[in-house]
Amino acid sequence: MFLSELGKLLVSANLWQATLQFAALLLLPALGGVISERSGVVNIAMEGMMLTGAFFGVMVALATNSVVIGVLAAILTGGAMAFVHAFFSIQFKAEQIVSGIAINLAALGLTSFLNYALTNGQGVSTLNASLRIPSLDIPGLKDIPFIGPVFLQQNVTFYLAVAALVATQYVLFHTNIGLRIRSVGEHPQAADTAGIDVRRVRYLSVITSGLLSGLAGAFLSLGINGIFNTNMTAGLGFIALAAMIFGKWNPLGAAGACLIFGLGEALQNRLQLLPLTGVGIVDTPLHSPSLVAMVPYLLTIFALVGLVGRATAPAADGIPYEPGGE
Amino acid sequence: MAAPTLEQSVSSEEPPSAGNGERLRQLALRFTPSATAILLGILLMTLTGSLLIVATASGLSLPARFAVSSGAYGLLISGAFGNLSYLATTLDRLGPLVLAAFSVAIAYRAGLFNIGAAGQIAVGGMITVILGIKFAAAPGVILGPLALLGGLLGGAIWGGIVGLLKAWRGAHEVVTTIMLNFVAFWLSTYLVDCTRNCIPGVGSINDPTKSDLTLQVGPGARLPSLAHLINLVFPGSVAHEGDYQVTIGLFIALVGVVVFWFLMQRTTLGYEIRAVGQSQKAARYAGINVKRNIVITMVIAGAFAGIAGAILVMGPDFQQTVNDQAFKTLPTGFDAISVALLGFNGPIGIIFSGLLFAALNAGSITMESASTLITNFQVRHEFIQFAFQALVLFLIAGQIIPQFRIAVVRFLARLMTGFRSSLQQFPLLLWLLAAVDVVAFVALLGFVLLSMFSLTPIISGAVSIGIGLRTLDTTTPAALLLTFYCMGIVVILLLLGFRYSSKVGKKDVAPPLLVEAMPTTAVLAAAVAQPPPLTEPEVSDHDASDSTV
Repeated sequence: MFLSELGKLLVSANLWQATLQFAALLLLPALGGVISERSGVVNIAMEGMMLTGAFFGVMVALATNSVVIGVLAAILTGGAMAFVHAFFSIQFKAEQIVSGIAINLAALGLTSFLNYALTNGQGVSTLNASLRIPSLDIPGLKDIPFIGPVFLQQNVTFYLAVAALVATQYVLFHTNIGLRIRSVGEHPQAADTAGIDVRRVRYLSVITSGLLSGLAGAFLSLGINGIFNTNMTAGLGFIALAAMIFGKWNPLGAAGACLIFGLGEALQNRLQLLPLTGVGIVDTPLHSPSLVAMVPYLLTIFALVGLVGRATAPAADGIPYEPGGE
Repeated sequence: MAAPTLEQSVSSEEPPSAGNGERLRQLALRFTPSATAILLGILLMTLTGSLLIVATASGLSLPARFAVSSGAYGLLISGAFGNLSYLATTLDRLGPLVLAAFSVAIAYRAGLFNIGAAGQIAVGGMITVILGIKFAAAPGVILGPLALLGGLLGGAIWGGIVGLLKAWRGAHEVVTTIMLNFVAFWLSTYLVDCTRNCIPGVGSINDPTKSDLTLQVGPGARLPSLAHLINLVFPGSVAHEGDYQVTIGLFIALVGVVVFWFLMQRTTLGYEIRAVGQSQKAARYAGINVKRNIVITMVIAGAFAGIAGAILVMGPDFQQTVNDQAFKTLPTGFDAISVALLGFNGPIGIIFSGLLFAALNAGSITMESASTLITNFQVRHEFIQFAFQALVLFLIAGQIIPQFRIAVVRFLARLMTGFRSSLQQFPLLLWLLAAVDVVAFVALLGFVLLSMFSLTPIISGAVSIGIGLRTLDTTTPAALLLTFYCMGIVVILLLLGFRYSSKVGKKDVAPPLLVEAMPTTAVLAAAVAQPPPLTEPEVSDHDASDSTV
């Protein structure tokens, strides 16, 4: 009984649709992290950038009554937070982890305060359908069994995330720009000697990560939930960080990790609903959402210590560039 | 490296030439930047906070907005120190904060960044809860120490994992601590949600009335409050014991201060930890087992955080709250990072910065509730906490303060020497530095106090005669405040400008702020004194051999 229900669950379109949606949500900040860290700037601030994007996306969409402007605002505010991070870590050569923590805390404090102050303590109410990022709706195609709901009825942002994945993979490994980003992250002195402006490349990379994280924030608030709640990202940015490491600082690897984590999240919500009759034990660990929620973090630790293939960061990751140093 | 810069001449330890004066100078050098950093942090927070409140307090006239924004800080202070009960709350927050900060500090001294204090606190607290429920009937003499020890061990294990992974496979501690924070959170959630027999021999620890609370620990595992102790000695001297939250956890924290100081300054282990933090290669060269030291450091760091978790549980609530809000925004684990960095990772500094954060923590909650009484605008406590933390972290991260001090001193010294002679020969350099610090200190303090208290009497007057601030439309105090704020903004811009211009054209500005708290190069020199002289340059712990984030 349990096993047959589990089997049914695993082939249900609903499960895979949720998996892909969650994976795309993680993928955007994870790609941002890949770009930023490949250029040599540690970025643990995706969480804060997402939260800022989520908040300003909703607020601007409400103020202008336009979802497009809302999404743009989310992207730009995410980028602005990233600029602050870049400014401190590149200009001031600050400890990048401290700066990242500071960004996360600032975003949390700022959004929860503004959310209170701008709405007179009411919080925003659920957005109308017209202010939400729509899902793809192609007549005919969406009715294809399984494929339709899983791949062709997703939120528009999902397709943007897929496009971002393809673009990141291509740019990082098949273009001049990508070569520059990677060289700056591996050996900035050599890159400088070759005439690459190390600081500029790093600035642009970090800001790009903020733009992507801001888009993910809009996906969360304007797309999936249609509302902004205080601290609504609730650690998603850190799961994205985990996905980035688990994916070994590679766009495709990160995408794979996001899929695994997405499946875990989707399963976690559905497993508890399964009937338990026919299983000898009453308490399966699978039945506890908390234990399943732990899996991404444990997997990341395993990846770091090399149990699931060794994950190694770019050589100059986290080290401020000193011209003429070493 | 180019010619020796001013920073180097200032931060390097010169041979004592003036006896006591030299010692005083060293002390001034060590602590004034910290104090200046705190004050500048407060100033920045006051300014940005006020401007945000002024911008967002809808429904009030502009002068009233300024009045609210400045009155909010008056409420913040009085909510932290206003009466004995508030003070007791502040002191109650102090103990766990200081212990958790030591957890961050000891790791930092060894060159490790422990941002896992939150997870270590959670695990330590959970073990304390389990022990406190399992042996609820045991007498306090046995259960109290047992619960503390349980918390200590829980934290030590959680921190030890990080150390082992770092030593064994070079897994970067920042990533592992972030991940373990979440693992600890979900583990706690699992244990609290579990209404069945999840923990063998204990049963469910869930409070049936509230899903995110554990049961209360037994009476033996409850730390007595100070008010209670005073009443035991002098019967009847404290009227309402329940009003004073502070427990003997404060004294446990003070013991922790002594332990931390002794460990770092008076033991071989502390010496080795500091040497490893200075340079892993040099330490290895001097025969120190670096890997072993990393593991031990993280175990001790975790133990400090674990005790903090135990005290939090054994404190006024006697139970653990496990939900999103409590964990992610639980101030202790993440505040600890700011407290440690702001306190220069030293025992005395941490007590002071801990007091500052404890006061903010306790005061902001009073401020939030009191501000709604005055107007219909509520000044949210999260805002103060997070805005302040972020600003302080940025200040530290950007190393703005020391750069700025040095820029000013350099300018003044040049002025005094007529832009001619070399600054290295200028005899009053250190005194000039101290003088600049004192002036900055006094000016900032004056600014903060003035802007805070200029309108508080008006607000309290308005409250006492029962009118809201909506009717308050006097322009004079508002104009006064506006002047202050504008001045403050100019100061900030100048700070940033100075800071920036001091960097331009100078390639090797050594950022000494965080380094000042670390052992000096003399320690290192002593560490490598016996073997042949070290030829390799000092390397940072971001070795290529380490896998970094």
